[in-house]
Amino acid sequence: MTDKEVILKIKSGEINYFEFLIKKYFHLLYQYLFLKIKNKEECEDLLQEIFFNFYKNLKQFDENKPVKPYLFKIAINQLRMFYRKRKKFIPLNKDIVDEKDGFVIFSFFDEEKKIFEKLSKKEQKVFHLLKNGYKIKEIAKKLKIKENTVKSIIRRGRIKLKIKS
Amino acid sequence: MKNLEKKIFKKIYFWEARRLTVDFFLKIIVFLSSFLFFFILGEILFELLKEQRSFDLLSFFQEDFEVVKKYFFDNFFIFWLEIPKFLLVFLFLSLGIFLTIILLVIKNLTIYKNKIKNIYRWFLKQK
Repeated sequence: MTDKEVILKIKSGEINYFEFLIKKYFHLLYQYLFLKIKNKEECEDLLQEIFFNFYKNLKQFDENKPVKPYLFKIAINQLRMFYRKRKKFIPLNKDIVDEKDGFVIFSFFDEEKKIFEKLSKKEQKVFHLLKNGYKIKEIAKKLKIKENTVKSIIRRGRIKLKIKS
Repeated sequence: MKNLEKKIFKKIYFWEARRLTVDFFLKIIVFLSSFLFFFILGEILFELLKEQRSFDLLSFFQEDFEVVKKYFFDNFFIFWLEIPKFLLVFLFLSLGIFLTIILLVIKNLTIYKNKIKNIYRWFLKQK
């Protein structure tokens, strides 16, 4: 059975035919992922996501096109997401409280604290709120300043910290 | 590999079952509401036309063919002027939605049938 026939079958609702595609491309994708990650469990998790995403997008997939490049494109995207998730996470360590206003300015590692010392107090407050998931509108409301001012503070702070995005 | 394959299929079948249920549920709701809307609007329109005695215009069809031929467009135009357009638009809109749902279900009937059959078989296999 060709890939085209299998995809047409799946598109007509016969989900069990997806087994053919899994069997055909499993080892190829597994080898590729293992070469990149070198961890069996994580490879399997990614493989699950790749095949699941492929199934979810099968409706839009043109059966006349080859399956392999499409699967590898999904695999590359999944790998990118995987690497993004694996970025270093800095745990909370030390709290420095601004006694005047009574709210926390820092909850960072010393290294991060040093970086943030480049900022002014107002900028530190805005960045701290940003880090805690506040939106620009909410920050403006909390600090009783205009939204545009918050945006300017963020922009200025980013330049100081040399953050691109 | 067998174990992983099972996991992938479990994920797919659960997702498909959930999607199918939501799809059916939405289609039934839209189907019923458009039917109800069509029925209510039709009833209102009918009552309005009855009140306006617009249906009297249709009685000229009982006349001779020559008379019907001569006055057909005049009568039709008057009848058209008397119909509340706003209601008519909504009536056709609800009819359109109603028919679209029916056509969509008929068009995808085999897909639904196959999917339900496959999901049912898979769930039986799991027990």
